[in-house]
Amino acid sequence: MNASNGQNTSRPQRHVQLTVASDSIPKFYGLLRSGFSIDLAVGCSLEHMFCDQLGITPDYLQNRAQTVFLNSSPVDDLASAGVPDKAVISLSAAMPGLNGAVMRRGGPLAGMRHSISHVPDQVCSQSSPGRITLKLFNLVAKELGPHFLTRGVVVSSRALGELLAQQPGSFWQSIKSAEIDGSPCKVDQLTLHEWPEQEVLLQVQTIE
Amino acid sequence: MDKILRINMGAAGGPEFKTEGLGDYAGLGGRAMTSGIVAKEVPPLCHPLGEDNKLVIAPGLLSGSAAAMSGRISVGCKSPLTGGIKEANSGGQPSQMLGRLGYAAIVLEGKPKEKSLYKIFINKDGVGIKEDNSLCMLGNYELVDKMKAEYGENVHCISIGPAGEMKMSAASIAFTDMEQRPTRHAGRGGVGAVMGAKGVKVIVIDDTGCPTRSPADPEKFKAANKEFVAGLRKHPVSGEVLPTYGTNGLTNVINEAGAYPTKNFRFGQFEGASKISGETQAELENARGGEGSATHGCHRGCVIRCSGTFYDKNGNFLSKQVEYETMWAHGGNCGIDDLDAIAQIDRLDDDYGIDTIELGATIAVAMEGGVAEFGDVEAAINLVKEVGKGTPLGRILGNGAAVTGQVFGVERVPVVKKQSMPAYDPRAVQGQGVTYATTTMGADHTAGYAVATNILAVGGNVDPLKPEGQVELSRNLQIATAAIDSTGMCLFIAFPLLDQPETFQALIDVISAFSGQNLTADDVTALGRSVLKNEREFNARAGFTSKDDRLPEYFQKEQLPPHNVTFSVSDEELDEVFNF
Repeated sequence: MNASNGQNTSRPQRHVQLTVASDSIPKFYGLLRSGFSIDLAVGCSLEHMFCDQLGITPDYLQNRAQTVFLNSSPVDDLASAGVPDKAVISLSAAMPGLNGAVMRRGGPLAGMRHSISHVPDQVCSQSSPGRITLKLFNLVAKELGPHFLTRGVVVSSRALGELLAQQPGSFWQSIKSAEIDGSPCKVDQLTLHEWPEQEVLLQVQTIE
Repeated sequence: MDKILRINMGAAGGPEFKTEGLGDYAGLGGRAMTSGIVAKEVPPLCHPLGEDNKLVIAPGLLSGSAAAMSGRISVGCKSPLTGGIKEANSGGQPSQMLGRLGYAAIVLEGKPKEKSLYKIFINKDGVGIKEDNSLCMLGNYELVDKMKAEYGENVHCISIGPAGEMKMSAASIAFTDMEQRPTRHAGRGGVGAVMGAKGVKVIVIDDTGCPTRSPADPEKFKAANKEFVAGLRKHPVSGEVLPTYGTNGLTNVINEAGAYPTKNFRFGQFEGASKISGETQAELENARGGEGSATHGCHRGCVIRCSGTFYDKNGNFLSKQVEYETMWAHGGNCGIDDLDAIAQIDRLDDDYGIDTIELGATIAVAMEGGVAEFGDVEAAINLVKEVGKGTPLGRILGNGAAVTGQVFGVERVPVVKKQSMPAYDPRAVQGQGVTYATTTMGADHTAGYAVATNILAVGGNVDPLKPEGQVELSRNLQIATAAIDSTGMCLFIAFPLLDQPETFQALIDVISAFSGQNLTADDVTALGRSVLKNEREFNARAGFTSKDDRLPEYFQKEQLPPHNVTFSVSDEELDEVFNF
């Protein structure tokens, strides 16, 4: 199983599934901020990708995720921004300060950063399988994080290993169940497990 | 606020004070007051550390009232760093207290004949000025504790640390926060050096027995203030992002944009940015200090609460939540991604009384000059300590990036009018670059800040997606900012004003109901323009020309990765900014 919308990837992966208490979900937000991979159809518009493939509502994009970057360029029009393969895409809430306002999608001060703004480009009528890196910052990580963690995020084993190594005892007590590659495992196997450098599909469900 | 307190530090026989009516300065507050007095009374060619310079401390027009967000204070003078007019702005408690005591401004004039240090005490009964050389070279933290022990637990302080006493051009003036810690600073431009030159170590304020200032129309004021607060709370930036992550929420976003000046403005992205981001900082603060530690107001009446409290690994208070500018200056710009180290440096900066932006930028220049390696945490901390000790190296660093660059033979010094650029690369955000170049303040990110351009219809509506109009945007922003700086309001009200017309109207109603006059957008524009006009004229008389309204040349030549852009606004366009 992978996180994409029915697309297959040939890259080998480990699959870690966790069920945790809901108040432990924020521990994973650092992974979302650093970026996680998703296999999906590329060549389409950002708007199509977010809404039709990733299940983010247009209302959320309009009102909450007001800052969007495509390969480090602030995007003003999601419909005319084509998603290339291996794109790095970031989502953020509207940010404070003049420069936060400048980065805002379609904001009145967007002209102040014209030298780095995304230029509307060709959106393909036909898309093809590919992979993107998605980063979720600040409020967006809090609000969309649980959705993506349930869906599954592809991260490096190193990043996951570093995250798990930092966690206090209370985190481990909050893990209700764990599976590696479809087989149940004890929680302490996650800390003792060897993690050679590879990609891991991480899925995290919550339970109250 | 119906009086100005003038203190002549150079009077024969010792410092003398007098209070007088507002006269020509009636109706002014904050930056309008400081720039008004400096432009009128300070000879533009005087030495900034000499007897003819004046240090003006002015609360905003609404300070001391019940208006939300009205606790900002302005400090003005001729700047020892830039040589031009300066307004530095701060949060903390003293603005509201001075407002309640009835002072529209404190003006420090003259210069003591002897090398003595004075403390000034102000309460409802009057003013006391005493010589106290036992305060010599005390850090701000220890100084405030001494003043509390001497004058009581209700006092707040305006003070300088060792940097101000040593008259370093990057010296700040500290204002105590709600917990009476000297964490809020009028940082830019060396205002602390001017206070040091006047021989004033600390101004202690006690407003016990002073009522909150009454509005002209209490019912209208109360209703408008309620509406204004509701607007601030419901907006995602002022009501959610800022209280949760503080200004440092910007790190990940500005870094993602490739606009995050890294290793002395060599690159636009820093690989360690995530480790020092607002999200990471808030998680750490809440984990160490308990939930809510990352949310804190700098003055009573603040409903945004963008600050927080940083505890060390042992759970002891270390410093206020590190602001974005400080995190950048001592962090990414120096190649450092260690949160605890940067918080420690922030504490040292506050204690020594030094501008974190200027010192961080200076250390990065020093690193480029070979004094230390980029990323060397221990070296960076030691360089800050050199400043506090006043060693020869410390004195060089404490006088800013331009001086340091000259001493160490560094060409790439990111300053305008000798003031260091803050945390946004002008090649990536060209409109910000226009403001850096042209503002009267030197490179300054808050001078052209307020985002009310289209709402105020100042200068018409600019198509946001067109590259033209950088000049017009910068001009209009500078006008609007100058007006807001005069009210005592925190600039973070700007975003809700942009998005929510009803919140903007509520602010207009608050000001109108308080003052008893009906304010319009034209009034705001006129106020902002008059402030800028005063400042421009002063700078012209001080010898500034259009040649000073420029970025360093290398920003036009050196491409900034990852976008590989250069600053491309022409000199002719820059000269159009103040064409009004």
